[in-house]
Amino acid sequence: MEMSKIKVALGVALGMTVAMPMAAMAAPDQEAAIADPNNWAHPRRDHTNQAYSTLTQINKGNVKNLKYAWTFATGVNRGHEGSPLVINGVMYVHTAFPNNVYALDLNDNQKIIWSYFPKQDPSVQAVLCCDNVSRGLGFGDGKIFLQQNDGMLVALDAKTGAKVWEVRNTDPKVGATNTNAPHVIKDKVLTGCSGAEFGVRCFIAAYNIKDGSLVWKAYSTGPDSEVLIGPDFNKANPHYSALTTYEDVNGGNKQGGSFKALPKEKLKYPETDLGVKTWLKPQAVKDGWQHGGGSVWGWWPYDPKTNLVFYGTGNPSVWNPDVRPGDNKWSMTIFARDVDTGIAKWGYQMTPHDEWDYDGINEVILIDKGGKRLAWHHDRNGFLYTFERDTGTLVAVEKVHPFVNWATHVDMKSGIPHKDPKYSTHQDYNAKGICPAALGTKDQQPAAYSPKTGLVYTPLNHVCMTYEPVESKYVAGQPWVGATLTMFPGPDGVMGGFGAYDPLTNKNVWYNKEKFSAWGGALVTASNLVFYGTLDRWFKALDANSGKELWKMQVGSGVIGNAFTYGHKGKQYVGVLSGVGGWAGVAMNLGLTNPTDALGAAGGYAELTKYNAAPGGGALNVFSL
Amino acid sequence: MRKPYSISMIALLSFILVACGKGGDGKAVEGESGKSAAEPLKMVEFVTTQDGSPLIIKPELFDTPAAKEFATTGKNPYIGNKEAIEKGKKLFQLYSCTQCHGGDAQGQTGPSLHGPNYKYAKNATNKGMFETIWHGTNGGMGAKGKGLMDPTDPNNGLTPDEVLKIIAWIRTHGTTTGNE
Repeated sequence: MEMSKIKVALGVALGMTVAMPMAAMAAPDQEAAIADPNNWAHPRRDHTNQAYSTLTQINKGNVKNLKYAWTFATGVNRGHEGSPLVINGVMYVHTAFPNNVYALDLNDNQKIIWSYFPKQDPSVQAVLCCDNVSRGLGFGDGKIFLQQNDGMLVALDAKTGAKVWEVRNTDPKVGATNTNAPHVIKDKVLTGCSGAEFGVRCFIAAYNIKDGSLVWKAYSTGPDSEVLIGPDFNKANPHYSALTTYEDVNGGNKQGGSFKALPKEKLKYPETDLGVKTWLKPQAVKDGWQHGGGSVWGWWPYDPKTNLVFYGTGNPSVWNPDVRPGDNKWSMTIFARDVDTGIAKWGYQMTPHDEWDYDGINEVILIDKGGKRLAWHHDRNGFLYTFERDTGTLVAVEKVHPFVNWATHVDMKSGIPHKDPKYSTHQDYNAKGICPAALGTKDQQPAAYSPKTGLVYTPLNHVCMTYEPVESKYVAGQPWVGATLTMFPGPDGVMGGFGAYDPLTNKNVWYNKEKFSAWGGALVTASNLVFYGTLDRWFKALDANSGKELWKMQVGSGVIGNAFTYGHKGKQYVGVLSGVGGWAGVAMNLGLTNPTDALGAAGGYAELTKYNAAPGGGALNVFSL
Repeated sequence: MRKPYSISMIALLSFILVACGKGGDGKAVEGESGKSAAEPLKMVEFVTTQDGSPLIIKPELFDTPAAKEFATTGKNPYIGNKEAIEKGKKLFQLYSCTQCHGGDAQGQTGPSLHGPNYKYAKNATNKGMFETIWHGTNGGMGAKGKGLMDPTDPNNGLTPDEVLKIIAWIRTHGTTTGNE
């Protein structure tokens, strides 16, 4: 029944494409803007998510002469993630809550052309789990798109800032919010959902770029008809759709219990409705999948050849794994979906039955290398995954750093991680020495890829944790966490790093330690320079071939934004938003002083207060030769 | 927001009237029943943390000896009580207070509860902290008191006795007891 509904929808979509070929390319202004290397018209520059720029005026020889060109204080404190957009001489800057937007005229002294000040209920800030960040804006069809924290998706006229349409995407009253940048793909604007710490059932949604009408919505949990899983799902790898990936050891979900990975021969597949069936009874709440989390807020690439968009889903709710037995699909999953219909082509769950809050939301980067069409993903769980992007078949999976200990390896035949029973977490038991911590070996800060060097460049967290699941009660609109954790520096004695990896093998090429987590997104240019910012306020340029530091400048507050570049009147600029915050900086923003406090996020980050005024002040920093 | 107050105000008034009636007929002035009838008259005057307006809590919700003592004195008898502190920690986790205030109440997205400097100065007293938890704040924290926490379920939320246990646990992190 539900399948035939999908088929009908698919038929209609295909019919429309045939009847109105223009529908498939409804944002030609976006395509043109992205094609101009002087622009930065998409959250990660273009649809590959590579954050790779062909601009070469700033090079290894002259980067040491890079100077401040101009700055712009956003007037908003707290964490500033993402990057501005630059389109044909206008820069569009977003801020943390209340998510103000400024259009700056690059042709006239960065004068404000228009500004937009959303009116949001301040109580929304209380239902944002990890600081009130926004990750940026979208552009297409003459509009700038803003996804407000309070769930409103807003389309603004790019020329005037006038509101063209708005639509409610999530409802903060039930704890659902938004932090992602809207992604314009063809004639649609895609947005997500945050709230896995509030028992929300999350989704990715596509709205019509013209009027904001909903085109499709795909949930992370629930029946196939609502997850938009069709009959051809995981055709190349049907074992990704197995009913269960583990067998219980010592009773599984209780203290002393753990989970043994099943070999591929023992898997039962393909199964349907796994978004329901893998939430075994009894759950903490009736039908656990209804409050199953699976947040969606990353950076989403798109492959025009296959018409697929790629994204990851977040942790299952609640953090206490004992009260949600089963693999908890499709949380922690990389999905590839048809942009026109939302139907999933393939889906691979990286951390079945999560016990550590290893959200799978980190970005996917599309890479063509060695004659292969690849999708690369650095997961929070500490593994680097390379897939064949048309099928989801695994090409290479490696630990990003040997300190990752919750699993020994990922079985390439079955795709299942082999969990180490020592680090299994259970209610009222404080599991110690788990690496990485819940914020992952990488969190929201996106990596970059250079087709020139053939390497990926990834910021790194180097943090471990103790994790104690606790009993917690679901109340709509209120936090629902179910674990307390403390974080501390990993075995390298620092809390972060930055490294280059070969996506064909996921072997490390070079690796630099960082004092704190490198919480800012990376940029790589065709002159083989890599840029990123740090929590202790440095904005750096490295040699992409060797990792050698070539230039750095200190900005006003810690960096959790993404480095970006643009050209204007023959000059190349690089920039980054500063303003410390996010999960790493959130406790600091509240004036934490006691370094021995057993903090969720702040324990090891307490020293940030020696580098940053609190709360972190938002500013845009732009540099040129 | 005003409506529930006026309803509970009426309930309280009628309770007081009944109590007065009881006292007025010259009987039942001693023993258990006399005691419980007299207590509501001595109840401390609670105010909201939002704007200091009167906060009416149904007297019958103060249904344990500790809660009754608190209702009349504003002192938290659970301070230093090991069993109550242990239960308070569990309740702090059960209602995910940890999400905003951190696993050890040290502050996360919400303020630290360790003191001595509190986001709301009145939280230095147990009465003040009780009011903040019961009725919420303007800073984003919702009311956690029974009947207020969950608009879909009047029986959901913390009882006064449970709030006092949570406060007892929170006070173990600071240098003051709140009963000073």
